[in-house]
Amino acid sequence: MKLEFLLPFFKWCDASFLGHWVSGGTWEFPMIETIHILALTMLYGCIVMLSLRMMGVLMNGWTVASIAREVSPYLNASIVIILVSGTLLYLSEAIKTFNNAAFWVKVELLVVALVFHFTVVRRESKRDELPRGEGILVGGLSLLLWLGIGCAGRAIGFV
Amino acid sequence: MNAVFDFCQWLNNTNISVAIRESTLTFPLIEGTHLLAIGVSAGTIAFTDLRLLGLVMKKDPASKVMGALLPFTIGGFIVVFITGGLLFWSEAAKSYGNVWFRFKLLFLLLAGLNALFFHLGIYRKMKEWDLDLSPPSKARMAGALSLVLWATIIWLGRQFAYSS
Repeated sequence: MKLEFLLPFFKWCDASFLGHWVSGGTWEFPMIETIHILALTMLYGCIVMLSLRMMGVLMNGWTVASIAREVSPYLNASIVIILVSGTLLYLSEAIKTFNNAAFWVKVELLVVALVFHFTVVRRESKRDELPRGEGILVGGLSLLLWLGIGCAGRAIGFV
Repeated sequence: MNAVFDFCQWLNNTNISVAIRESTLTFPLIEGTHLLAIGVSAGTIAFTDLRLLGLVMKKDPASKVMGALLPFTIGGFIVVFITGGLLFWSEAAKSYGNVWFRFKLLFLLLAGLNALFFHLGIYRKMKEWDLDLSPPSKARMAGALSLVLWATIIWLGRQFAYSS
């Protein structure tokens, strides 16, 4: 869903000093995007492990809580890196993204995924084991949300 | 003219190559699948490497951690390999002369050799260090090298996709 009233904000972002810095040079955009992609890879690894464990698919020799404890530092760090690098990439082409349908899908899914992760997933993954149905629901939703963001993100470059 | 170049030209002219290249949806879908599968395989490789470095799941035997993650690394990698092959097929002629692509292949080979030497070497003595909080230096070196090599491969792939 395109939020029309944000257009002035997008224009302001596009004209910002940081936006110009990223779009101005030859290496800034590719380097920041590479960092974005590397952090994404790490995030996907963490999400796959945590979600599939909640679903009871992988690493059943560990409790849900212990997997969550091990992946958390890497998961949180990659989210921070992804948000910072993603914001920089956005600033460099804010007006272009305003008219990109995939961008809106991605950002809105991202908000849902972040809220879902830091509320439901965080609370549920403190337990040793989840009841089968609940694990499949929470883990499956988490996996689908993040995969959806990845697909929408890649689509930004194609639409 | 050389045989490899001729082969890439021939691949480039096959019906499947043209079909992938010219369809609006096929190429993005294959590339999207390629990227998501990289997340699964390289993401689990990263955790395996972090265990070899003694940074995660220290209390669990390295063999147990590696064994639990391996099916997902391999499964993800099979998807990455197939989708990567299809992407190459669709742009074989362009890929042939691309320096990023050539370096990507070189680094894939290096990552493969690193894994091979690890499995032929220190991995065979795993029983001796399976429970070590910090694995022996050869294992830590293999983990660190793997992290660097796979990060480089992802970077080269990104550069390749946006070049020419």
